[in-house]
Amino acid sequence: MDNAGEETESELVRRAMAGDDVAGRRLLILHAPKLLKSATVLARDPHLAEDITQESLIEAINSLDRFDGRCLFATWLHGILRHRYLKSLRADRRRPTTIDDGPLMRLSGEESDPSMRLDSAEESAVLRQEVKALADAHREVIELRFFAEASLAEIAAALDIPVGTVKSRLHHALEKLRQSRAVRTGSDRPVAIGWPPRDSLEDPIG
Amino acid sequence: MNQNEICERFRQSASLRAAGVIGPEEEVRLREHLTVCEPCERRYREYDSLSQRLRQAYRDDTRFANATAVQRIISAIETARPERRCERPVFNALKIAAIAASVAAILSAVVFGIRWGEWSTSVAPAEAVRTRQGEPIRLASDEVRQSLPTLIELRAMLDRPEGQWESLLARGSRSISTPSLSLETLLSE
Repeated sequence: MDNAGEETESELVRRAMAGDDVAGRRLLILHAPKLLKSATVLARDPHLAEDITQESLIEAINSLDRFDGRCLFATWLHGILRHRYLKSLRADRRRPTTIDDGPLMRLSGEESDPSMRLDSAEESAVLRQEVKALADAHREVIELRFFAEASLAEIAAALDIPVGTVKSRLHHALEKLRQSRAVRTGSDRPVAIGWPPRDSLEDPIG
Repeated sequence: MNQNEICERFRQSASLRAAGVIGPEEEVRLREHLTVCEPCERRYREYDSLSQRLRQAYRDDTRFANATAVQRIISAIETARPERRCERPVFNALKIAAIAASVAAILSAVVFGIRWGEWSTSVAPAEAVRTRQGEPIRLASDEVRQSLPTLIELRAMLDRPEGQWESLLARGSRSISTPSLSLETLLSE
């Protein structure tokens, strides 16, 4: 988010905390898509995800005067989302035993862009399968980070774990995926993309 | 700390940098380490490649992520009525105080009404009225009460000759069912 966006959000937060209901709603609408993604990762059920996202945002509307600004607004929202998710689990103990990849698969590229190269689509599908095969603790942080684009603090709030634990899980999850990929490709060959370019490594300060 | 431990620490930094969740100070330390450590530099590139492919796998999710669901949620937010959002704490306090005052007033009125009813219609329980000697005065009915001399009459009686008392006392003693109640008892009260 650029500076202008941050200023806009901080202004909305300020007005919402002062009791401006319109600003509060605009703020929540701003965060709704990202929160829905986090809910999709947590609930693994698109209908439940939609329900708990909506309930979380409605609860946030009614609790705006309890937001004290000590954390980021998005982090506060993720805390409410986690609370709602646990509440839904208590109300209905039937957590899905099979992962519904509907929202992820449907939106993964095969349907939305038929012209996508087959190898790229296959690579994405295989990668998602490998993520799915991870332990829940690792899968959640990977999907929250790369699918929901949640920050460390948001992931920590959504999973109710310390930020240090999020870092550790993220590292181990990426390491497992890296090893799986190395085994699959049969190559430990480094890939020449991404930051930092080799040239810049020669002089990191410059 | 040996080189392996140092590299293990920077491997975590490398993976977190590839995931885009590293702090600026740690990033500087990582870059310095990568310039001198070839294995870590190679590992970093692998993490970075993996992260880019993960982003690619979910990129279209970002573009189209449940647009219908998002619209439904946004509509719900826009139409939701805040339960207590427009009421600031001071108004809540005033409302609570007003409710408490109303309840107290209603309770007071009920208690006062009950006591008024008791006082205006009932006869005091016989057991509650006793002479100084502890003998019960049984005032069974209004008829009996009306038949007793009033205090004014009793006062007047004290000023009269003793012979004139009987006419007044006869009025009360006829109706008093307790034989032990005598003029002396009444006067001693």
